[in-house]
Amino acid sequence: MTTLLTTRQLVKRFGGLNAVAGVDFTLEKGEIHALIGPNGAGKTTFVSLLCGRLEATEGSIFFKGKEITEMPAWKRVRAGIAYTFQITSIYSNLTVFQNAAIAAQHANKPADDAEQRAKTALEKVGLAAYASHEAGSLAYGHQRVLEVAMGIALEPELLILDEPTQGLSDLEIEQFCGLIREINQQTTVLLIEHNMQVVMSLARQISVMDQGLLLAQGTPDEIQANAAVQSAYLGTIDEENVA
Amino acid sequence: MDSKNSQILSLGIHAAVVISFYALQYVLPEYHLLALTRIMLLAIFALGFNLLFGYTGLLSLGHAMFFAAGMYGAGLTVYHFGWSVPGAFLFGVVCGAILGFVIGMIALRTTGVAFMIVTLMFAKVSYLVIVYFTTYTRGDEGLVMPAEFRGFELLGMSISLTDSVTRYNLALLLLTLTMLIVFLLVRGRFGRALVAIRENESRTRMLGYNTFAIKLKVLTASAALSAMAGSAYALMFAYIGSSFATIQYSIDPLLYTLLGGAGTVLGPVFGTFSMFYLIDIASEYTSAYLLVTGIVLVLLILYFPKGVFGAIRQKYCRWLP
Ligand SMILES: Nc1ncnc2c1ncn2[C@@H]1O[C@H](COP(=O)(O)OP(=O)(O)OP(=O)(O)O)[C@@H](O)[C@H]1O
Ligand SMILES: [Mg+2]
Repeated sequence: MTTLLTTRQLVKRFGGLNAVAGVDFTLEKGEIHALIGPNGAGKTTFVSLLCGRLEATEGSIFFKGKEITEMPAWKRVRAGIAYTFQITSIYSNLTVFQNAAIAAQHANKPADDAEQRAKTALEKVGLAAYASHEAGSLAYGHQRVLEVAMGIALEPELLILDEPTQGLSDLEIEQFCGLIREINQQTTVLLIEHNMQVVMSLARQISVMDQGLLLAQGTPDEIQANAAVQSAYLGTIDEENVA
Repeated sequence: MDSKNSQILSLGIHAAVVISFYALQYVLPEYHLLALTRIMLLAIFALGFNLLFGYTGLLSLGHAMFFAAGMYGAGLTVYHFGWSVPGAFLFGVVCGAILGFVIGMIALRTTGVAFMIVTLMFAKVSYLVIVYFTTYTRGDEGLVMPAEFRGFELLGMSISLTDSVTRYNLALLLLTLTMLIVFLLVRGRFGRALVAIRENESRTRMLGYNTFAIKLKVLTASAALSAMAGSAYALMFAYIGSSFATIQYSIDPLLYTLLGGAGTVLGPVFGTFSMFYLIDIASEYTSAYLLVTGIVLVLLILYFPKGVFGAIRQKYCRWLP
C-alpha cells in the first residue's frame, strides 16, 4: 500500500482553544477511513486543515509526498482533494444540474465533457431526475446527496465526507453505503461519521479523535476492543449493536 | 426548451434590439438622436457595471472612476498631445483596464459592505486627483476638445464626430460590441464560474476555483467596458469634466441595472433607456426630478427586486442570458 496523505504534529488553535492539538495521521491510498469522536472533538477542524478551508497554526501536511501545508484551498482541490461540507453548502438558487456542473468543470479536466461528468455524478447518486429542479427546493436528504454528487463530480483522489448521512433515512443510508463502496473503487475516502453501523460496515481503518488528539487508530475490530476508546467514546456501541 | 434552441432565440432577441436601435435613426428627430446616443454610451457603462454586480455579485460604489479613467485617458491625450481619435479612444480603454486591475488587487481583498466602501473611497480619491491637477484638467470647469480633433480617418473612411448620425451609429456599434462581449463572457464555463462566486464564494473556492483571480479578471473587464463608455463619451461630445467622476456617476449604473434587471444582458440597456427618459420627462415638470429617481428606486425594490428583465426571465424564459 502507498501512503496518500500524512500529517505531522498538526495544530489548529482558535484563540486559547487547541481544536487540533498535534495530530500525526496517515491515510493509505484506496482505503475507506473513518474518523470518529464525540461532538467538538475537532474532526471538522482537522479535515478542514487537510482541504485548506482552514490554515494550520503549526505542523505540516503531505499529499502524495508533496508538502501542501501552505497551498491555497482551490489548488488542493485541483491536486485531488475534495471536501463535502458538514453543513450543507450547495447553490440553492441554481438548478441541481448547475450545481454539479460547477463542480465538474474543474480546470484540470477537459472542458467539453464537463456537462457529461455532471450528469454522470447525478446519476450515480440518483438525482438525475431532479436535474432541472432548483437545488434549494430539494428535500434535505437530497440536498445532502447533492453535496456528495458535487464531490464526486470533481473526480478527486481523496474524497472527504463530513457526516454525509446526517438526517438521511435508513433506506437512504443503505443506498449511500453502496455508493461509497462504488466510489471507493477509484477514490480514497475519508469519512467523518457518527452512525456506528455505517462506520463498521464501510471502514477498513478507523481513527478516533478526542479533544483535538488522535486517541487510537486501527481496524474496526481493534477499535472496538480498545479500552481507552470504549471509555472515551464508544460506550454506546454495544448497545447499538445489540439493538 | 433545449439549450441550442434557447441560445438561438436569445441571440435573436438581442439582435432585434440592436436592429430596432439602428432603424430608429431614420425616424427620430435630432434631439432624440442625441439623447439615444448618450443612452447607448451610458448603457455600455451599465453593462460593464452589471458584469461585476449582476453576474459576480460584487457591488462597486465607485464605478465613476473607471468611466472617468476612460474619459480623461482619451480627452487629455487629445487635448494636450494632439493624439488622433482612435489612438486616444484605445488609450482611454487601456487606462480603465489598468485602473481596474490595480484597484482590484487592493479592493478584492474585501467583500460585501467593505468592498462597497473601498471602491467608494477610491472613486473619491480619483475625483480629488482630477481636481488637484486642475492645471491640466481644468477640474470642474472641464476641457472642450478642439474642433480639429473631431474628425479622423479610419480604414480609408473619413469620419466626423460633429455629425449626429455618425455619432449615433458609432455608439450603436460600440453598444453591440459590448453586448456581444458580455454575452460571450457570461454564457458557458466562465459565466458559470461567475454565478457560482455570486451565489456562494467560499463553496466555489472549495470546488477548485481561484476565485480571487476570476474576480480580478471580471473587475478588469468591467472597468475596461466602463472606460470605453467614458472614452467614447469624451470624444463624441468633445467635453471632459470632473462632474463625470462624482458619486452620481457611480450610482447611475446601479440604478439602470436595478431597474432593468441585474444579471441580464438586456436589463441594463432597457434600464438606462427608461431611467434617462424618465428623468428627461420629469425634469420638464419639476426641478425635483431626483425625487422621481428615488421613488422609482423604492418602488423597484419593493415590487421588482430583480428588475424588469429579471422578473421576465424568472417568469417566462429562464434561458435568457
Ligand atoms: N471557527 C472557529 N472558531 C472558534 N472555535 C471553533 C471554530 N470552529 C470550531 N471551533 C471549536 O473547535 C472545537 C472542535 O470543533 P469541530 O467542529 O472540529 O468538532 P467536530 O469534531 O467536528 O464536532 P461535531 O461532531 O459536532 O461536528 C469545538 O470546541 C469548536 O467549538
Ligand atoms: Mg464536525
